Amino acid sequence: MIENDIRRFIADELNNGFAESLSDDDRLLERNVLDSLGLFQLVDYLESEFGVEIDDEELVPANFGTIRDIARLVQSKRS
Amino acid sequence: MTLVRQASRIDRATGVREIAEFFGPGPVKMFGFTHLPTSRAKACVIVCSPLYLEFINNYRREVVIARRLAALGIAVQRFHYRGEGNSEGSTGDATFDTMRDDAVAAAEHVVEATGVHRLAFFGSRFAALIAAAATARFDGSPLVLWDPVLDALQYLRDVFRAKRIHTLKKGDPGSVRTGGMLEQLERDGGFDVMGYTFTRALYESSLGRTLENQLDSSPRRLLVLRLGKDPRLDRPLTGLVERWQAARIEVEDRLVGQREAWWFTSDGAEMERLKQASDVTVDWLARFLTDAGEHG
Repeated sequence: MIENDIRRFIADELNNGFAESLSDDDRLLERNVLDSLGLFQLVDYLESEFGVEIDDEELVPANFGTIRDIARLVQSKRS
Repeated sequence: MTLVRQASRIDRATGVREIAEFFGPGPVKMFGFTHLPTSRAKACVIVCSPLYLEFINNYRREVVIARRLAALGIAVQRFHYRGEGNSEGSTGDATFDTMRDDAVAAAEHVVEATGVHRLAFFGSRFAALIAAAATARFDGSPLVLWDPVLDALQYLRDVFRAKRIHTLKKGDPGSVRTGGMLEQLERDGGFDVMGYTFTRALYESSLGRTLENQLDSSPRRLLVLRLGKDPRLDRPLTGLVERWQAARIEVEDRLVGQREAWWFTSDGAEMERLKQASDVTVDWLARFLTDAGEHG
């Protein structure tokens, strides 16, 4: 599942202590799960791992607000 | 009154002399530091610094590397590009070509100071392109590249993305669009990225530059340090290294660190993790420039 891959990346790579308990609908930006660096690295990861290209115009809260939002974005790019 | 253009210090432990001065062939002078060994230098290294926040993040590492190399008998020239840092000139006048020319002028300066023509270049991120372009003027000079930018366009895209992500985190992403940033470059000659001015002159002069097309094909040794990235996620660089090796350019490809923050630094501990990168760099340069390596 894409959601699990994203959650694992946040836990393993961003190492912020939140990830283990994160649900798909937790607010990542408001809860400061992702800081600017984390966002930058996450976008890099999504592009490399899932073979998608994320346009700068797609860097909006609607696509990066929750793990579910991010997974939906990736899924839509892949299909 | 005498105009003093130079100041120096001598390290009490190593005897290494550091000279701070304004220099350069033209009317607009660069600011830089020359690190001189206690005896005749065995070789010289020119440090090409990255840009913007990356310049700040890398600054101390470059100082430490310079001092360590000088203690091993290798002179080092550090400098600020014209229009950047302490150097003279306007930010808006700096282009890729002026930065490459500054690196070449820095090389000529340290050669003049030491009388030694054996050179190597060291460039990080965007400055990898600059170092590669400069080193093409000096046949066979070894080259150290930290997390090199492979394509200027990709770096420029990262700049736009950094600005976009910064505003996303602040909750106002709608105010920044790539098209809008390009229009602002065209209209105003530049825009602000987290406190740094990104200029149209640098943007336009950098388009089409790649690490592959900036480095000539003459035989030389290369050290490529990837900082904190999973090589699986870095396929373009892997491909380039393989092409260089096929062309009989001797490339040592190393992966160092767990995580790097070029645009966004989380804390000081993060920078400390890169001590290993400095160790690898100093040892590699010492190995090929002094034929001895670093001991102790």
